Amino acid sequence: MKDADSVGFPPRSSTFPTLAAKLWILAAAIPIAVVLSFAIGRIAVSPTTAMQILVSRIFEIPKNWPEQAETIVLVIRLPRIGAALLIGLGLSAAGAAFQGLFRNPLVSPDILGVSAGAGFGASLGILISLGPMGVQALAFGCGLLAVLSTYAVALRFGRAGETALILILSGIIIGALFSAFISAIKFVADPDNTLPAITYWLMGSLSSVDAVDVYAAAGPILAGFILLMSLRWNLNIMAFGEGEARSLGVNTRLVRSAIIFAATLMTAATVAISGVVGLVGLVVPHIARAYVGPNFSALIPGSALLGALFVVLMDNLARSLFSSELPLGVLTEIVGAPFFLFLLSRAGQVWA
Amino acid sequence: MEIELRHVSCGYAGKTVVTDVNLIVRSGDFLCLLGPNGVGKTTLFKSILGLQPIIDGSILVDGKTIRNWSRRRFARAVGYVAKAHTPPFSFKVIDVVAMGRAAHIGPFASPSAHDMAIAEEVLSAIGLRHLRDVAYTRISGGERQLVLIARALAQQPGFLFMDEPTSNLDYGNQVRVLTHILTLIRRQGLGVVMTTHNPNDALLYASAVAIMGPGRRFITGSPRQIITKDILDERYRVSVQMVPISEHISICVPARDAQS
Repeated sequence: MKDADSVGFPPRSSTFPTLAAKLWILAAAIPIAVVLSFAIGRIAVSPTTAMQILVSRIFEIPKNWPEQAETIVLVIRLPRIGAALLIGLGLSAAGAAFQGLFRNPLVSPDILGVSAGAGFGASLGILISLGPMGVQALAFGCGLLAVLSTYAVALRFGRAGETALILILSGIIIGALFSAFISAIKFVADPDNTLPAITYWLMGSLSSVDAVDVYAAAGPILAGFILLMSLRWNLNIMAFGEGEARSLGVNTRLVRSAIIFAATLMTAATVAISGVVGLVGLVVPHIARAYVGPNFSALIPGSALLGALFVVLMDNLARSLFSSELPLGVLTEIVGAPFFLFLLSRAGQVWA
Repeated sequence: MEIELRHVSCGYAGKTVVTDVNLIVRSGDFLCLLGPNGVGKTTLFKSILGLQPIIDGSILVDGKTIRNWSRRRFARAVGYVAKAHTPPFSFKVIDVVAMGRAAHIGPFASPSAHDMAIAEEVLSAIGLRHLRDVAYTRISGGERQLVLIARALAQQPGFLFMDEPTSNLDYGNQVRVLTHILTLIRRQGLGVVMTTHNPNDALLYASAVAIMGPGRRFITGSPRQIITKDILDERYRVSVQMVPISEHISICVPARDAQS
């Protein structure tokens, strides 16, 4: 079979809508989803009222809504929606980038151990009773530390030309190590108090996100995204393998480390404020690839936009499906897994 | 332009595979590199292309050593055509060709309209314009090989190194690819170095031939000097005979007595 080891649906030959138009359609869907999201939740606030409250923060307009609505919109829903957008954007763009870099469509952004590292940092922070900011900072730091360890191991033992494979193997080992540390911390944690907190944190949730969290995560996520956007065309070449990329004149060491740095920054910041929101970074790039094609010039922004949309919608479900809130990470995995199987069945022969 | 290998030895850590190679290739040359499996043709190629370090000797482009050249600088002088294979993603043919512009584009930039125009031009020149928007993974092996040649041409190098560009192609595609290579040499003055397993490629198309191993000296010369019964018998451990097909050209076939 000709395309035995290729993945993704080739872009259709029709030129309408163009790639740019497809990206604009995604971009336009986000404000609509955001407006709807303000209205969804246990206490109903109409989208119009929500918009009026937001506008009133910038312009003086007559106030005709209850105080409670203002609190819900500004203190609870605004940071949540902001966080959901950032998380979706970060995980999906990072996932797409890693799939290209490691030439493997089954790779997710935590392949180098960032989630396990961040989970360990957060568990440790909760164990030693750090405040929320301390827990986040420790999670972010340990996420970076885990990937740095993976990179150091790969540099130490890797040989030229095998870097991608060695990185993935090192990432699995470092990830397993940090997962073991998490278990050790859970084992010694107070079962009445800290253990549930750790367990709940690891499930991935936005229920306790506030404005400060969003500000803290926005910096690294947007910085990583800008870096990925500037590297996105070179990702196409990296997907052909290290040797070919070098013979085409690409400084693969620079490009590879910059991509890993950008993706790690984004993922670590994401996990630090939300815990582990699984499968987003794996599934969203696939859907984006089906929509805008495999060229990373369009795929990176496409994944970012689609990811932001996806997580905002998932978070709406998470907080409205049942009377008590479902952790976001649990929901994305429950929704993501069958979806991924559906993609597998459509791409059927591709992975055979 | 001129690329020169002086006393080059290469191999892997602790094991020298190829020793003391001396070679000069100039613009307009078409050099075929022959040798049995496992004598280190690919290793030599990788070393010349800087994908693995050389153990001894030096490589010079226009008399200057390339040791401290960046990947970009080297890629502008020497293009590489790998054996055609399928990448994990189904990029469009035009996007694959545009990747050849990497050496002219910074690591944090994307191709400009000028770069895309060059990609379109080489794609037309190689006769694959109709495949522009088709997925690279869906075209035939021969077309894929031509796309990789187009990609190397978009790089605008002085030399092309090709690793067995005809090995996985049907007979028609082999002839088409080799004819294209000849055209490129004549029209654009490229220097081409190509590995092949078919001595007749060298006899029919090449301007010079080099033959490697096993365990013997690296020798170069004109096709008629190198592709002889004696040398082929010795290097490949078979018996061949040379059959004249015109006044000036002979081709080689397995000897009659060996076929029975």
